[in-house]
Amino acid sequence: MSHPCPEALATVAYLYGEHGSDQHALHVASCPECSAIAAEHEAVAGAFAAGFAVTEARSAVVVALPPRRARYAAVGAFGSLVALAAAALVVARLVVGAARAPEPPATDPLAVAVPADTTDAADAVADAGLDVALDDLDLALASLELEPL
Amino acid sequence: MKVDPRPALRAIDLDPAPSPLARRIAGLRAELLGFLRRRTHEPEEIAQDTWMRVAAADPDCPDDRSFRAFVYVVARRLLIDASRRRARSGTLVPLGGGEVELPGADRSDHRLAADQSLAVIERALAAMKPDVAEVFRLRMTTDLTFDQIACRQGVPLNTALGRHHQATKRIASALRDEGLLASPGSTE
Repeated sequence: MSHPCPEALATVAYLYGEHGSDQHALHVASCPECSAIAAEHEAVAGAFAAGFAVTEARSAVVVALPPRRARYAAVGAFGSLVALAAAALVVARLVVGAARAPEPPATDPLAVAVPADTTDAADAVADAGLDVALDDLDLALASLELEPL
Repeated sequence: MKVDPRPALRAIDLDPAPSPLARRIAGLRAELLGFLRRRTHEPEEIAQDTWMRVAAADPDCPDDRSFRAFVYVVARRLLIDASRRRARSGTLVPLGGGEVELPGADRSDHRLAADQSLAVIERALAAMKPDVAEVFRLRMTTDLTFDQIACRQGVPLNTALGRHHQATKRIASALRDEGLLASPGSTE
């Protein structure tokens, strides 16, 4: 490859910032050969950078897209959805828990303990229960060490 | 010695009798900005850098024509820098998806031309000797200097420079054949 201008390679170095000061531009400006080199290198660098930047931008967009989970997390509606799901879960647990709970007594336990149709045997059972309850009450009062009235 | 270019730039606006340099800069400001706008998405920054460098160099140009040529060489050098930065860094992508649109980048014809250009460049590089293509790829997409690339390939610096120039010429020719690059001399 021949370079009619002996400064051609120095001009290439200058164009890429590797040849001293801008005084070399004086030579380039006055030399048709070196001026053409400057124009050609600038045009090719511009075309390369433009194509490269557009292509890179497209691939970068693909790379930079956040993962779907992160995108959902970033959306406010996702938070509302989670809150609704949690509330539904709590309500469902309450309903199931209530269904499994034992039936509350329909009447007073004492009333059940005293059958309407009383017999002597039944009275004896009822009295025995009452005695036990009274004994328990005496024990409780004794433990409180109350002054007798 | 490094010269502070700011006084010369300030003089353009403040000095009632501007220096020849300030007058020349003022005369080319709009034209250079238009030139840069057709080539980059950061024309103001590159224009500012260009004028700073021009003011610092204070070139000894005999006439306005040679001064204009000097300014365009400096601007082209900065454009190459900007293109390499852009190729290295790609395009900013916001976290919410999508991409940052460059001026004109939203047009499908711009994207099509950019895609076509890159395809032509890739084909041209594939047809070159691997060592030649490697210099171009390394210099355009990495921070390696020609010196470092030459060391990596085990060749003199001038060989690396020559390979890069050769690769660039072939790519330019391929782009011209496809109508994706203006003919030499019609770029300004």
